[in-house]
Amino acid sequence: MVHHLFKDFLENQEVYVLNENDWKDQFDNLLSQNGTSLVCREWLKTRFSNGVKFFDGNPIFSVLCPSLNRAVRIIQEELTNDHLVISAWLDEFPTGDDQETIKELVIVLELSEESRDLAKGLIKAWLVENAGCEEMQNLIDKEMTSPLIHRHPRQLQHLLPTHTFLGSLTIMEVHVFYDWPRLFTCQNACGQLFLAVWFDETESADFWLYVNLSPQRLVAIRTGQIDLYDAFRGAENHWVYQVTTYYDERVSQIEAVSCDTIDEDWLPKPGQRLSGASPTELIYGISREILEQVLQQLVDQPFKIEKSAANEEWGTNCKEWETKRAA
Amino acid sequence: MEHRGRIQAQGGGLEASESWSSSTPPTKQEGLDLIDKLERKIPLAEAMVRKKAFEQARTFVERATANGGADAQVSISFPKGIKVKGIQVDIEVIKGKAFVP
Repeated sequence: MVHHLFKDFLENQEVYVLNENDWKDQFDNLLSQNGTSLVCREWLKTRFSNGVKFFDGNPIFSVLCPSLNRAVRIIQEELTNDHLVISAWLDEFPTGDDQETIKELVIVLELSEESRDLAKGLIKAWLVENAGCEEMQNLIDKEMTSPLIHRHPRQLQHLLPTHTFLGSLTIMEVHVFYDWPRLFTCQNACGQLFLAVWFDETESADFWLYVNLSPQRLVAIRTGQIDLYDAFRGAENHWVYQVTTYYDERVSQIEAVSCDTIDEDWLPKPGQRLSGASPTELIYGISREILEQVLQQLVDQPFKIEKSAANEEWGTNCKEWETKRAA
Repeated sequence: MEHRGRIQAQGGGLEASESWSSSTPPTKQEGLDLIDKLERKIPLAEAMVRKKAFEQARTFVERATANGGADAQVSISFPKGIKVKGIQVDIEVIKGKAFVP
């Protein structure tokens, strides 16, 4: 639990200005306490051309030290929880006149006494002690991996919804992976296919959209004939599912949403498509998954299968597929 | 050139940008087009994890236009909130003015 400061800085403009002034005071004190003669000046604009302030904390404070060609930018975010929330990185900003760039320390935080102290430590190292970039990066890595600092833990077993009417799901193919699967195809025990896309996260949960698909439609999506936006907006049965999965043991939440009322922010951008597999490859790929399950059932329960024309045709198709696949 | 700037997607190993350098400041539409172009040119996974960042960048451009534009030097990073692994989109007005009506 941390001690927050200027809690309603985004709602109250007077508090916002006090918050800005506090950063200036903290910076001036930091310089004077360390007896430095460093000359710095306010740097980035936080007003539009007509004078209206951004009032969004992006940034709340920035300063440039011309003699070092270094700058600090602090982005202050809305409070979301009682943990220590802070992140930092080094960046470069072009000067505008030549190829030279300003080296910049960027700090993003939710303001608390604890995060402010950490930020001041980084600023001191960057400007007062003039730490090298490698040294600075090491310091950032060290400070930002403190166990106090809130992270976003995520375990694979918490990605798929559990105890919902979608059933027990198995991922068949991951189409987009970024640290964890963001877009994938999955299947439940009844063989129903779903396309799932991640669209947001909080400190404790991920938010997904699931859409039920026919194998034909999956092929069309997988080959890029249907874009990802239409995959959900134009769902075959006109409904999608908004799913919330939690990083802990909480039971997933699920809600059916009509295609017409899906929030645009949840959907992939129009025009984004998958590609890379031919329809033929996919048909065999998908069929094989289903095929193997059905074949396994045949092996397990041979007496329940009655010989029929449909089964014979199905068996012939299987052999043809296998022959083509082997070829 | 009198007006310079860029829109940049970075973090997680990605470094891509679309820049402007012109004698007249870019308009709102030109700014939005640059964002679209950047979003289209990076890999799908990179675009998907920056979806919110791109939307907020568009909102900033629109807000700037509604307030007469943005004067250098401006550096804004999106999305709002902690940028995990630095996955973000930046708007930088380096010189002159941008996003005029």
